[in-house]
Amino acid sequence: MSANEPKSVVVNETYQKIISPLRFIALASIALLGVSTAADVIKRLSTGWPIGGVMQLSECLMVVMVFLGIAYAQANRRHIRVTIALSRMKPRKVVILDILSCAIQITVLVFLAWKTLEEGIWSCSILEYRVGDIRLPIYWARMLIPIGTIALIGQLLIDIWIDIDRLRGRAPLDLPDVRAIQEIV
Amino acid sequence: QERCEAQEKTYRMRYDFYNVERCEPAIIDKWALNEVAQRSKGRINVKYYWMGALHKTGEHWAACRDGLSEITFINFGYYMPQTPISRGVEWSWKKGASDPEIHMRMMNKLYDEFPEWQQEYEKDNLHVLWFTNWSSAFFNFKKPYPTVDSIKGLRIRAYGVASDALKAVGAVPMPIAAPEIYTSLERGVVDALLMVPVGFSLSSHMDTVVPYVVDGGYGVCGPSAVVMNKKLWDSLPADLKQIFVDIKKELVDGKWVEVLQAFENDCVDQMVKRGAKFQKWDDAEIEKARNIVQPMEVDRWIQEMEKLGFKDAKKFQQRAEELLAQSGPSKFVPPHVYYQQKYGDK
Amino acid sequence: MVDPYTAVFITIGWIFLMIFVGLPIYATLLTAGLIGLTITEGFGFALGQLKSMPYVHTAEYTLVVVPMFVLMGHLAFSAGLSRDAYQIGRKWLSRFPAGLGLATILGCGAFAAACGSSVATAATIGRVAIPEMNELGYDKKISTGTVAAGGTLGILIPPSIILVFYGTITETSVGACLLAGILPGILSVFIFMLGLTFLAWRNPSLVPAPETYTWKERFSSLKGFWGIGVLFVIVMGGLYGGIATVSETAALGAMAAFLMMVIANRGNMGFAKQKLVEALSETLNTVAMIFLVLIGSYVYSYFITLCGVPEAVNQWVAGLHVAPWIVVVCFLLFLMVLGGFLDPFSILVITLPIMHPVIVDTLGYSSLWLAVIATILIEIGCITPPVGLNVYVIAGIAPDVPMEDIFAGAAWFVLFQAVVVAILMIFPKIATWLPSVVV
Ligand code: NA
Ligand code: NA
Repeated sequence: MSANEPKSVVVNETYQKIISPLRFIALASIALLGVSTAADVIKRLSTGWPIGGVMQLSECLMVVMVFLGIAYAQANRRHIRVTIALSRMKPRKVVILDILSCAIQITVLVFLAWKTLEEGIWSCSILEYRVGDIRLPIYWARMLIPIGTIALIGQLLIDIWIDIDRLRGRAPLDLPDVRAIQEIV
Repeated sequence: QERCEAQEKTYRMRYDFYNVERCEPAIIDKWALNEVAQRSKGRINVKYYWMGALHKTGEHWAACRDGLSEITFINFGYYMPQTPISRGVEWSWKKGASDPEIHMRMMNKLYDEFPEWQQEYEKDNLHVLWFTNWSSAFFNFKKPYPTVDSIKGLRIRAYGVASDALKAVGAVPMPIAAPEIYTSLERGVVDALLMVPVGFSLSSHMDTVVPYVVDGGYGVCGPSAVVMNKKLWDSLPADLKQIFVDIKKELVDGKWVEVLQAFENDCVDQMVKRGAKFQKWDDAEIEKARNIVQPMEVDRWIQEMEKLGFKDAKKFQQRAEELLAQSGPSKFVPPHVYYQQKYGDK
Repeated sequence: MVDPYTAVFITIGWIFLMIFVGLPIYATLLTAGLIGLTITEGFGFALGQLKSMPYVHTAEYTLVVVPMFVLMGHLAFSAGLSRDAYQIGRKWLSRFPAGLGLATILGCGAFAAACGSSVATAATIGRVAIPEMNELGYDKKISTGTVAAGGTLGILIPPSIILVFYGTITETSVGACLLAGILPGILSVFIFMLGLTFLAWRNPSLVPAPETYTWKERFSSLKGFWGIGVLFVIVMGGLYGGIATVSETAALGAMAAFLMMVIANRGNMGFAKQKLVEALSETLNTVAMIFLVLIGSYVYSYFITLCGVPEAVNQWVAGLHVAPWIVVVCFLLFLMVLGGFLDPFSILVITLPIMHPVIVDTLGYSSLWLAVIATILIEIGCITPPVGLNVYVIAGIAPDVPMEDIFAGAAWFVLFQAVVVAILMIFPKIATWLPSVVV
């Protein structure tokens, strides 16, 4: 780390390390989803019998990858937004609007984390499971939603901090996602 | 004065249903709730949401609990962790339980006898208005499969207890997501369906791919509870509560089967025009399936319940059997019988 | 409490304002839905929506196709399939006027069979095709416009994320939606090629003289076809042959693309591993983004449903007493206008809750037909100003070409796509026939 890097950027780098297990588990869940689903078909085609529980597991893996991935996607500025107006504004104005945008997101995400946590606790209390050819516990997946949401809130807080440093001239004024084109659907 | 206010108040109730408007339980509930609205002289106003327009399958329990809907339809099969005791009346090839009217009556009586069962709903802020079901559960086949042995190895779409029962008799249960059933059948990912009432076959055009509607004596499809948000229920004035209680009694005493029968006969007529065939397994075959699945299925449930701390699990099943025996005779005419009477041996 | 219609207008205003200030789409829709629910039903009611909805709408088996198709596209690119597809077209078509342009369109169509994204198709083919066309002396409007437009085939020819979403949101069979895209996709390839040839004929200065290759070179290029071919057979076989569900097909495709990527790296496992992590990371970014948008859109459409907006629009349309096709055309024009500003995904989640019940349930059009038409209109949005994602991505690849020129080049293809839409309006069977054929 160079000495002239603002504290916010340093904290951001540390934060990426802290949440990297979430990202790793999310990546693994994508791979597992592919392998287990493909294995299920291959087994069914060769033996006539499916592997028990692949469908229920797949559903849980979707929750894992999405909610453990949302903070990572924000770190890469990949939550899609329309930048047509921003790209024609002065950089300072863009940064100010970005702070506003992060603040609005944090507000709504706090409610999301709170309510999904409530539901997660309820789910744990009845040891909720999903029925199919086997019974798969799902309460753990419910609990990942508030965890992932809180990780995203943390990322947005740091983004606001970095934005403030941008305004103070301690970081480059250009926002990474305003003029760059990223792959979306 | 407070009582006066409650009597003047208009209650807006959202009825939240996960499936189509034209299917067995929906037709019955709509009759019942329209009747409630009429008898309340406008003090109760019911708005219907079909096809999960308000909440998706799997969300209805929590939605009604939290007051996001006022009345909802709980098919136990989708809310198993919440409804362990309710699942005690979900049987496969259970003796005396295959008639939908008898099964419905039994549930409504049994519920009043077991406070533990009532707790299952009330602790989650739900009040049961009445129990119902999706009528008889049939197989839908591409060609006739007349025996238990003939379905060995057959890939059949099913979920919940039906999956276990099918496995026991040697078939391959496949959990196909609802929107994919039709194309999965078309393209041969699954061969057949179980747990399909005729109303669903008709509305989803299943009968055009699997035209053989076969009564394998499996039992009723999707036993369910129609529930109201309990906080709302408790706040209703006594005379409005009484309307619901009266309607429930009328359903149990014959209205339920009357509405169901008219609907299913009409479905059979339409399906016959599209080429559907209605058949039934011989009693010997049904008995054969029963001997494989029962009493293992019930015993497994009792064991599980005792582990969960429901000490009267055994008594529950005994009482259920007694009530099944006492709840006849049924006025229900099964589709294949209606088909035989009207269309003969064509 | 505010009356429902006032609330709807308030939220629409909020959505436009928030989109303008650059709030992400997920948060725009989520806040709009919560504001709407709060002012019509109360704050507690609105918050109640957040409890189980995020889980239920993510843990959805039919959506397994999304990460799998996205992963398949990334791995197919790492395996070099885009380059191979382009070379085949080049060797076989370059003797015609505008031959390399035709090859580019064909390459886009072929790579579209491995990739479910419009932008990704444009970007991957563009990286290969644009430098080669420019080198040969193509007019830069044509070279860049062709790739921008060709990329849109990515969401029409299966796999297609857009068609998967259409199927999920409208509860139409996802498999059938994907199948419905095939013939219109091939038709688009054909019309694009015909149109480009017409352009070259009317204005020969736009394109250089044809190049020629020997038959030997042509046939040897075909060995590059096996990768695309295998993926095509898996996806088609899965959708059509009855061995697997759509989700399973997508997983098999992703696994096959992974094997090809390993083979393409000639067993260099370290490199393959790095490529795999890259593909997974890119997939994770996309999937996390898409599902958060879906959750936001569900909250907003819940509010819209509760306010009875679809019913009101239905009644209004029924009371208009105009021919159904005029209503459809109005909706399509509206889609095109939105396409000017929004990305394909947002357009779909915003318009479908209202458009689908009217066009399909009330007017009786086929849901599969609407899936294809809406996808094409959304495609057009990808290449029209001011927001044209494909054009933006091409501008990134060809920095020397001004954005206006790319839009101008792509404008020809908007015309060609209008022809495709007209043909589909007249012959809806082109979309609905294939899914209706029972194996
Ligand atoms: Na594609
Ligand atoms: Na556009």
